[in-house]
Amino acid sequence: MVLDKNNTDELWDLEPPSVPERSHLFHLKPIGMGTANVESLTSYIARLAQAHCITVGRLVCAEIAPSLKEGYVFNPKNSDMSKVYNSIFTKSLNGKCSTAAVIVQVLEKLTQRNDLHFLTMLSWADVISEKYLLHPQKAWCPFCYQEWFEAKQVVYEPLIWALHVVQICPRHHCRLHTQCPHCYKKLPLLPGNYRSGYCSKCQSWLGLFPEPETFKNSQFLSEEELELQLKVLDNVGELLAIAPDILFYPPSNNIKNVISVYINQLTKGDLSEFAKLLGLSPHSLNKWYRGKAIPGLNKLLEICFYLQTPLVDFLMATKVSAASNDIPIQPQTPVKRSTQTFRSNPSLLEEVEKVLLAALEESPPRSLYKVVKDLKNITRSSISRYFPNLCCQISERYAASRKPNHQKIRPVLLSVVNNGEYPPPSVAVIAKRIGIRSKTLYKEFPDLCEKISEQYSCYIKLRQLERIEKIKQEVRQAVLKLHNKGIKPHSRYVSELLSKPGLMRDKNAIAALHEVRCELGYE
Amino acid sequence: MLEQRFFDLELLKKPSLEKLAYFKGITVPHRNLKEVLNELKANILEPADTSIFFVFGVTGIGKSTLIKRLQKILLENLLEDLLSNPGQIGVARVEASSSSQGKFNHLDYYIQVLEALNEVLINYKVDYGISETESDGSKSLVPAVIKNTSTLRRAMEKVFINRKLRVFIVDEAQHLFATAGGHQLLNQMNWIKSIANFTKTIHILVGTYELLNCSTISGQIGRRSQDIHIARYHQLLQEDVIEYSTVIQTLQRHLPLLEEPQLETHCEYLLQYSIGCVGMLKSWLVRALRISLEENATTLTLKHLKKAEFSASRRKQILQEAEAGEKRLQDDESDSPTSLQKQQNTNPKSQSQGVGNRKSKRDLVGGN
Repeated sequence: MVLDKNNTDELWDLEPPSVPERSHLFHLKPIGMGTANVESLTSYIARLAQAHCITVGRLVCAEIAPSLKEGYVFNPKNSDMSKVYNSIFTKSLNGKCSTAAVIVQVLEKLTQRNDLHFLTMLSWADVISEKYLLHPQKAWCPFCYQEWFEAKQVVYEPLIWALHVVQICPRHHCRLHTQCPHCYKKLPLLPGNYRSGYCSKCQSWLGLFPEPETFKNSQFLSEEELELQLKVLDNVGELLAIAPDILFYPPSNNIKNVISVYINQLTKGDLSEFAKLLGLSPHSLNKWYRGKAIPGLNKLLEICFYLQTPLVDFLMATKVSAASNDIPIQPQTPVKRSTQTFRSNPSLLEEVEKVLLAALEESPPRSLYKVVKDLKNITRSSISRYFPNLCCQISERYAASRKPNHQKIRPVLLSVVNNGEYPPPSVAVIAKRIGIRSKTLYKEFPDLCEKISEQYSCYIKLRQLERIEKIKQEVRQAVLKLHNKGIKPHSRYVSELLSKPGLMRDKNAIAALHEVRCELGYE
Repeated sequence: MLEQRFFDLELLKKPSLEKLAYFKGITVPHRNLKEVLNELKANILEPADTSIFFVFGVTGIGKSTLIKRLQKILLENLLEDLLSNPGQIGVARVEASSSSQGKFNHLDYYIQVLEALNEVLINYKVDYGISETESDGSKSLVPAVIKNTSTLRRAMEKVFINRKLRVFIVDEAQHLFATAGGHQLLNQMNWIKSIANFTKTIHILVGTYELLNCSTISGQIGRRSQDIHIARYHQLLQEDVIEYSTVIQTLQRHLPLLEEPQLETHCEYLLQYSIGCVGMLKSWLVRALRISLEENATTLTLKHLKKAEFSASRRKQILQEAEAGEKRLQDDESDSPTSLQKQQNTNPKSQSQGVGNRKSKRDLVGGN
């Protein structure tokens, strides 16, 4: 036998190569990463649940919630679905709040992805305020849904739909819907039974055919509004598209720096002048300028449109002042309420005096606030500056009229206590009779009121006992009647003989029944 | 004389349990297994139209070893993909279980597969009603939250797709076809085929000769599947005997005994009594080793082998199964195109009765 000795040394190694741990949930790729149509985090969670063939609620409760820190948002040990969903946490998931950050972290761990925070506004957390950032409810474009469905594409929700400043669909330029066309309900962002493209309340398909009729109905935008919205979409879309590419998130002092640069350039450092120029409130501008606060997305867009600078450049503090030469330096006419002053119109003085004097004679007297409120267009402070005495008299007269009259009220209360009116009235009833609030009555006459309420509660208790006794008697008679007829006094037959059919449900009635049945030897 | 040994000599001082474990861990490749493995590897890594492979052989031939080795090789090939995509699984295997009623249970199978793939929340699967990849135009308005086989099947398919599973191996696959009647067999085949096609996952069904029924049952499946037979070694063939003795030599070198046994002298005895199956030979040697270790013997002798050999009835049973399977395989192979043609030629003749022509015999059946 010839053997090839060299060949025999080969052995098989069956140990598989070491592969890093696989992701716990699917490594699902988000849609539209790096474009203006990037998916929102809520939409991603929904698609992840759909890929795993489980409901969104189950995914959140069983996979996401237990990974949260205990006591965060809700107690994960008590992961009842309704508790998760009653919490605020689904509402702001696409935004920039700390809940969103935590959920992103948990999801990134579970799916081993590292790009999920671009599905929220977390990249811009330090430069955009949370106010007016997101729609409070789900907003969607039905035509997009229908198009995707027919093209057999994945139905999802872009992040841009969730932003409050965005009112129209970027593709169809129609107003975003916020109400189900079938059940007219507003829809939550991520309900437990979520299915992309379907109403979570009535389960109807939300897509609509882009027919001219439906299109017209949903398009209330004027030319001007549409133009503004398109500008908004351009700016916000760029913001979303660029997020994965920026190396570091813009810090909060970017806003402060950029604003101060513009103020120096345009109004030579005059803050209030700048506020007038842009039509902003000087108070908030001052806060932003000092870095005490950051503006919301709507205000940022207003500023950027005026300064003719792209939103991204403004937030990233790049290319400041490049376009500043073209900026119109006419102040925007701020819309102010037209108030009149005595200085501008002296004839008002007499008019107002007349009104005030008339108010002094009035009965019942009105408060100064109410009198002045009827004098439209003049502020209360200016009236009290010009007529300090009259104002003082009106206020005093009103205060005196509001004060309870002890001499009148005390005898009434005393008569109630002593005469023993039957049935004794409660303090609230007496207060109503006199015409003042019962709280005041308690405050002014504590001892008398206590006596009255004591009488009243005694009466109530007595009445209660009477009622119980009446029930007992009624039950007893009914049972005896049945017993005499030779029928076993079952509660069903007893209740038929009672004056009110529901009486047998009363615990006193049940007790009475047992008692009588024991006496008769049924139990 | 200190001859060269193939294991760490320290092992000789260790307890016998460890020695046994060492020998159990030795896997010797042999010609027939290597051939099958190479064929599978080539077919999988260079995808053709084939989506289902049937791998069959008698018990103890080395099927489980083959699966393990195949898994390792495929994982090594996919390693780059696996590192870049932490969600991918690539290769997975499941052992089909025989159900208590003897009939295959789809629900159990789906649950087993989902468990094998580490899927989450298997008990809470729901059917979303529509699927983005499915082409039925109906949109069911109410999501069917019913846990049934179709829900679990969809869940399983989604896992296959989302985990980017390339190869799925089903061990003991003959249990999949434990159904009554040929018609249901066809159903089972179509079922496996549709899963493989829909998820674009290659299915390797490993089992006994019972799998032989499957591939020929319909043309559509025959085109998409391939049979691979793991042959045993025959004592009548010279090259088989040489290969077998090589395997024996390799194995004996790794027997952790003071003296290397001289087993190749008993080659024919070993070949005959292990029915030419290397897996059986291995377990036989493991038992013999245990006996010799208990006796504190310096080496393994014929006496130990005799003590540990498989009982005659069991050998007979296995041999019968193997021979029956091989015979069926031969019959299948002899159904070559020429014989098929013959059948087809004979068929038209029997049907040559013209349409509308009355059979003359009918006239005899009269009512008068």
